[in-house]
Amino acid sequence: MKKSKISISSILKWTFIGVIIFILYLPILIIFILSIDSSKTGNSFTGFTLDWYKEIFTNKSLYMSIITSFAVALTATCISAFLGTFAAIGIHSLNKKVKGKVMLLNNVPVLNADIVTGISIMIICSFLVPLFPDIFGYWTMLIAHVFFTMPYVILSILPKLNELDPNLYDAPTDLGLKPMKALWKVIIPAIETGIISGALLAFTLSIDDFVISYFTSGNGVTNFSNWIYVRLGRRNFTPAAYAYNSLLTIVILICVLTPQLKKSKKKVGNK
Amino acid sequence: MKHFKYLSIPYIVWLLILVIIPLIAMIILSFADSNGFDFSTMTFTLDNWANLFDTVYLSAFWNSIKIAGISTIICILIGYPISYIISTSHLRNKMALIMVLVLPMWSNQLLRIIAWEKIFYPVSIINNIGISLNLIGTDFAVIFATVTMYLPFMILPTFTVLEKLDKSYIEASYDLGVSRVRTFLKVTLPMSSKGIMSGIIMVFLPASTGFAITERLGGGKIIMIGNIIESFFKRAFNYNMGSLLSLVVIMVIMGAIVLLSKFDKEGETLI
Amino acid sequence: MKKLLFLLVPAILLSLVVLVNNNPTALYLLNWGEYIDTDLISQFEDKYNATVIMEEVGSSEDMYQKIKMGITSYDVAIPGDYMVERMYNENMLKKLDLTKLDNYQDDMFNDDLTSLRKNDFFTDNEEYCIPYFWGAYGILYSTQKDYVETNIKENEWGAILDRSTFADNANNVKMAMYSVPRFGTTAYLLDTDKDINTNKVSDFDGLVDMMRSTNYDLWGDDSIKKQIAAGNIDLGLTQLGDFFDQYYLSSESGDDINFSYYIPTKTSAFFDAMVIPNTSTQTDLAYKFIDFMIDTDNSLQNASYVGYSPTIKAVCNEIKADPEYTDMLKEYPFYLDPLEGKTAKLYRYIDEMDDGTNYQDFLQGLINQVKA
Repeated sequence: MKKSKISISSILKWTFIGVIIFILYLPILIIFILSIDSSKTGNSFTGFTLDWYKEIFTNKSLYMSIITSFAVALTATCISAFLGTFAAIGIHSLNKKVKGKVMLLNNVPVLNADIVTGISIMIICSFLVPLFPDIFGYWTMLIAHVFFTMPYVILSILPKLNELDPNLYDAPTDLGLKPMKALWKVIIPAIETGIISGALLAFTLSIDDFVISYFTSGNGVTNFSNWIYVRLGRRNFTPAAYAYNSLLTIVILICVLTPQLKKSKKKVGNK
Repeated sequence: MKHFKYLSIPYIVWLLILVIIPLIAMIILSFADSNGFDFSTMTFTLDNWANLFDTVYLSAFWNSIKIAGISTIICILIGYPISYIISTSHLRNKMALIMVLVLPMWSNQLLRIIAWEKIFYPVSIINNIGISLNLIGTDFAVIFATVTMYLPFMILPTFTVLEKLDKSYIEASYDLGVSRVRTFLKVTLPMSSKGIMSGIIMVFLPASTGFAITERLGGGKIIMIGNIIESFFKRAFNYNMGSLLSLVVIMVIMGAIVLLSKFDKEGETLI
Repeated sequence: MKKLLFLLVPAILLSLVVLVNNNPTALYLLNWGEYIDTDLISQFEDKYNATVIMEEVGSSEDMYQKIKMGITSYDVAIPGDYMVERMYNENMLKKLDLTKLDNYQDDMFNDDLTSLRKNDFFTDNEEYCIPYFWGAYGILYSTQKDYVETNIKENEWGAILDRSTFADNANNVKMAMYSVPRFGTTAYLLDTDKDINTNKVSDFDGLVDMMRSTNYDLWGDDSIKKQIAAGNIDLGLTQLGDFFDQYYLSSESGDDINFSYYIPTKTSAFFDAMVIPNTSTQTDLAYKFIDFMIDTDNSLQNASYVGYSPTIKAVCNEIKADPEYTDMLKEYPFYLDPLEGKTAKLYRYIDEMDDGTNYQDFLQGLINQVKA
């Protein structure tokens, strides 16, 4: 193992990364400061307060929008991950030409501008309004979120399918296992990491989505980003939004870093 | 595995409905003068297409490409080196550091934009520590914020690709006496180009079509194509011109997808 | 895949919460952001054992779209005057049975406003909309630089349209313009003595040149009042209500009040009104809501929260009699009588210019050229 050299280039490299991390976290720091600032306008610091954190639980429109964000994100993630797995397997099994064309179609929601995707779903759903008058709101948001997250799930799973040993399917079926069972017991566990990373990606994209939800909300249902947007610069915006965001950031930081740190402790321990 | 190709059929139908039908609706709207989606009072007109080459739209397109392009280049110049440094370092837990860099992504984008507003407006909470900037309405502010929003999208794919690189190629190159710089240029860079392509797509496309950053930080003076489409759909209620511009955006993006599919046959460059 | 089941449980639970919260017998209210005291909504819900679901928009155009699209069956909406006219023209509104409103009296609204409605608005508008708040258009400005106030009082609309009126200070002053095209174009029409409801293309000549050379430092809506209060911007075109809104907000926050408002001699007036769209499903509840809002005490409470000028005479009288308001009324008399000593007209809905182009598109085109 090479000894780590403390050279000038080393110092420069890590300072560079440090500076970038600082810049990336600057907005988060400001959001945190604003969440404990008793000023409602955030134009100056007028004193410490934890009131905004309490308000998260009392401001109904705020916590409903948060719950809506999570409800839509979690449900869309489950649906996309589950159906996306089967779709990916299906696409993987297609012949090259058809596969290419299907992937072209699949990549449209991924590459298309959010605003165009949002408008597209709004168009389709407004055709359905005569049949389902209350469709807008939760259901349209769900359809939209599944629509734009499933392609990402498929894109996460396909590389794993490609890496699979083709015998992985033939062997169990030769041994008498029905195709669907072979799928369930053998193939799906093998591509599990692809499914999980796809689901994670889907959730991330869904929870923070703004533009697409903007066009597909209705009937009083809005998600967190929309809640903020309608109140930008107005009096009914409360720093409780900053408080919620700061809480979320801290929780995610802990959730994400603890397994990583545990892993490194394990590594050291095994030496 | 060929057996499973039928699993892809429901998904293909879903994509066809949600992608093709809105497309048709937008094409129809672009050739018409209508009151929103009211197809019954529509009249046929070519005016929308005639107005397409108005300087307003052309300059908005140019602005979008310029700002998104510069942001993307900066993201490459910062993001790739970061991924490279971390990937080639001897850190025990590289993933943790990458997670730290990527974490701001989970903080709500609108709130982060508000935070940048506070930093770039001359009078705001940061005066408490004696700083006052006045950068609202400048390209600098918009580009700076865009880079901080999308840098994680460049870091992730480049890091993934660099980690998966078969290090034996690099070692072979050193063994053959090739200098570090040349090895990087001739071996590492080409082999990680797929990651850079992914990063470019995931940064440039949303950056060029978004509207929130320019709306809040551009002081209303910087207009990108996303802002114009949003104002047509949300303010002017002119779905006709809005659909037309959306179609142009779709066509440009589709052109890019087709080019991409020639570059990478598997259609998996994105993740 | 089994791990996904862990997600499925919270997913379903939370989704049920969202779905249950959506009550079909609720009153759907379409309003502007922060344009109602939410406490009043709670009071209404308690009194009539109902649920109110309020959606907020940022413009009359948004409101029109949302109702037109039919996505949500709104029961009460509060659009701006010219939008009420447009909706009336397109048969989107229910004719109101005024007998169902116990609190309604013929002479209950501010005289200036009533005169505008009788003489300058679509006939029989009394049966389609109930005034909510009203005001005038003018200039919100920072009081930190003396020359700003001086110039505004001298040149009125010219001060906000033409940077060169600031002479030596032209390069130092920070100017803002509202992003809604009609506000800025109206200022120009008033400055050049034209009819604010003109549809002649030639009346707008010179607008682009004048405003473009001004090179505004900020185009926005609600951000203007915030930035003026913060001192980042020196003057901007806004509605009267924006001033008091920001006044209340800054007072609550403990910030200093370093800004004021000026209404030019010739200006345009506006009012927002409660209407019942044809798509309403809870019409009885809608009547009860409107009736509730025009009750004097409720309207008074609303006025103390929303900065816009109240339309009901009884409310104005209560405010004049209230010692807490005396100082504010002395300093800002235009709160209750925005058109005192001014000439004003209401916006009418205009469909097309005299050359056939759509009115909105034309105005937006002018503004796009100004910004380019």
